[in-house]
Amino acid sequence: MGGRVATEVLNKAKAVERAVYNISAALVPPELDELPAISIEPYHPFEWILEVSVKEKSSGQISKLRPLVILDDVHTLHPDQLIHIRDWLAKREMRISRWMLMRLDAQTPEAVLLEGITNPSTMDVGSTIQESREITKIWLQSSEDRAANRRNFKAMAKSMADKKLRLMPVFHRQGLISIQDLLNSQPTPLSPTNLKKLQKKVDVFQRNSNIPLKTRDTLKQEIKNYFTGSKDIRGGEDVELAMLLILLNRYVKRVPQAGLFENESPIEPSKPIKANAGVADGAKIFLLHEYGRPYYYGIDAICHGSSENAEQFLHLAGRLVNASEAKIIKGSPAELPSKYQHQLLQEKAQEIVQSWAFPFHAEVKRLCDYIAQQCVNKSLEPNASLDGGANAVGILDEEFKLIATNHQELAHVLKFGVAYNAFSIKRHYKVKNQSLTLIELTGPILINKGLTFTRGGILERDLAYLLKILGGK
Amino acid sequence: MEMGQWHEKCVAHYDESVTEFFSLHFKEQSRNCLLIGGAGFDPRSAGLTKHLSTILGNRLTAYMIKEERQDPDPELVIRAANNLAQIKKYCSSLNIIDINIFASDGAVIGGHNIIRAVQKIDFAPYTDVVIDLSALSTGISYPVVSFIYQTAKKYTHDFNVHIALLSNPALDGSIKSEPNDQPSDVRGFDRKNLYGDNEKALLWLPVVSENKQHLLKIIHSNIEPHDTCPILPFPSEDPKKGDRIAYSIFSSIYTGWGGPLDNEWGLEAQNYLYADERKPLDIYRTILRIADDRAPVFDAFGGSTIILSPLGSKIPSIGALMAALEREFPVVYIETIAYNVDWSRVDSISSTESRMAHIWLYGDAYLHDK
Repeated sequence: MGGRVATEVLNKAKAVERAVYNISAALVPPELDELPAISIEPYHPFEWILEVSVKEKSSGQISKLRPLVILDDVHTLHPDQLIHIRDWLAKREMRISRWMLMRLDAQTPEAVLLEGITNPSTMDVGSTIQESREITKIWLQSSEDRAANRRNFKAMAKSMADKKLRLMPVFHRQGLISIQDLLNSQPTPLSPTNLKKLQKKVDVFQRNSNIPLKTRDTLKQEIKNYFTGSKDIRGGEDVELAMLLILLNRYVKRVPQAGLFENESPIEPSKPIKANAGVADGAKIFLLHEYGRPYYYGIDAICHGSSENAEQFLHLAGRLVNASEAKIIKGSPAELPSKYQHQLLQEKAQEIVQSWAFPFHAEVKRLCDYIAQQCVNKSLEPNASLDGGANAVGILDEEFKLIATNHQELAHVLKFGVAYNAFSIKRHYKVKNQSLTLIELTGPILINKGLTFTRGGILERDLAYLLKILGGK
Repeated sequence: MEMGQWHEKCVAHYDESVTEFFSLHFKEQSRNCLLIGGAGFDPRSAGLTKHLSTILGNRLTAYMIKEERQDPDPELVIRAANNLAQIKKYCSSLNIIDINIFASDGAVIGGHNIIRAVQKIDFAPYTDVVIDLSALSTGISYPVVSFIYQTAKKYTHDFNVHIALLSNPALDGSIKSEPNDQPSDVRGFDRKNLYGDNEKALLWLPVVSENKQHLLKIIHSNIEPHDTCPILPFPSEDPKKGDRIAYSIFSSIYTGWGGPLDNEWGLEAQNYLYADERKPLDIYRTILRIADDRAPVFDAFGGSTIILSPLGSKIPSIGALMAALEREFPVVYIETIAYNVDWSRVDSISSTESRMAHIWLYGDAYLHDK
């Protein structure tokens, strides 16, 4: 320990530290027999320090405090060093509390990809301790309870944005205290020409598919009922028409093939056709791709687009706030029309993706682009079979487990993709009695490619599919 | 105030004067030269070997370093093999050193490996050692220069140490590197991080070039400096380059409305420093001047530390290297995992567009200064 007085203990610690540093940082390390004695003598301060006694000056009362050692940024260590330090700190002889903090991408791919299901992880190679018994893992970035995460983040992000906005003099002078004041949430409708085109498309489809007028009227009424059901739901003629097109397509799929002669009496579909939020979302995605109708606007779009990442939120929101500030300075109203918000968010999302420079970013981008393109194709199916569309692929849990051990490159690509928010991984997702692992695209990619934020649209694929995207490695 | 070792007296040559100097210096038959360089895909790999071999003939020995990274692009491998064939043609006494930059587990080990390899070289037969930085990465070139410089200083038989390179910012721009996810200390230029060091005022001087904002952010979050002064290339061949870089750095850390992007770096316009892109000594002197100015100010508050990060093109990084060598400044960089090269652009850039630079680092030229 170096002595009985605190200063002596400190001096000894400093001397040991310097001796070890001089060895490890030397350009040419010394030979083993040249190592200074202080660097190799036994030195176990953590095993000897039990508690710190503090005497309160006024009352003279003595408090006994148990020290907590926090090692921050442990990810900067080599994996072998990390294991050694962890094993050393996990020793039972040590009485003080110990906490090691590290970043997600410093974990092994196994630990990141199979979060929560593998204990122990491969970090245990060469380790002598029982991880499950000696160590408590605290995941600060977790895929559990994602709905709650999303809700909490939204509330936090809104409050953060409002707080920052109040500090900006330009907005303060205008009495603008909430970011929602800047974001017009009224959708920009289709132009009359495009609306006519859409109308014609619906008419042609109905005629070509021999759908009775009565059926069309019933479906239209279904859509009207949906929009009158709640004040919060906003549609518009364009969305209603696009929804009708989807419902007509669903009708065609669900009734038996029409005969040679028109049958004026409607046939009941095998399953009732309903207008709901999913169909409305599908209609909006269709309108975005077909006619460029804005889809990403309002505070919700920014929150979902940032994938629960505060820095990403500030980047996206910052672009809108700057644009609004510029409008005020130019003497225009601060509010940004939905079309302009959509354009700015798409530009920023594209910038974010283009600025990726983390390890394996090219592979991560290739994976995202390929999955996104397939999701777009699925989302634009005429009957919107997945409502708003797809934004994830799912592979069987059993297959996914093999990635970490058998497919190193894919494992690294997925690890860095998760660590840098390109996609997120959701394990044990139950679909049709199967347990899937989902690879979900995150905000910037979704905005960039024009996909829905609504979770649940999954393309079922297999491991070979992922490997093929990366060139079979 | 203490002047730098190369502050006033430094033998440096640029462009045509480099070839004149080499011709004059190496024509003496008593001179035996050891050339240490990179044998990679970089088209500049063989340039200096070719040049020196015409002057020195069989008095030239070359140790060429092949930096090996995992899963290289096949085109890079083919180009590297072609360059090596060229080098072999010019130099009959050739040794190849294969250096793994990463361990199988992803740890950066290039610096350790290169020191182990150059330790085995017997410098006795040589009067001059030329280190060609044209095709060497920072993680390799800095330890090599440091080791040879220190060896020359303590060697019983003195030899001259030269740094030379073919600089071509356009070529550098068409070679894109995929960075590691975390920074590393250059071997031999480690940060101390000993007890009490965090009380020192920490200044970070990144020598920057275009499109390095991501690297800057990674390094900044790792070293957490109290102050940051990016060194911009000015004067530069493209006079607007410095402004573009300054703007891109600023806009990557500042959105104008708070949070983690509320300019946490405390970067203001006056923080930017300027150094001549073509003159390494300008950067060297700038860094030393700042170090000397800070020392007395922070002396009473625990001292001052400067960390360098050469992220710019090759010539400015020599200036940073000289400053780091002299004052033992830590150097933090981000190792490259892989290179992506725009070959059509590279092939369109003529080798004659590369400009040569030479610094005589140690030896006879400074005989009276010892």
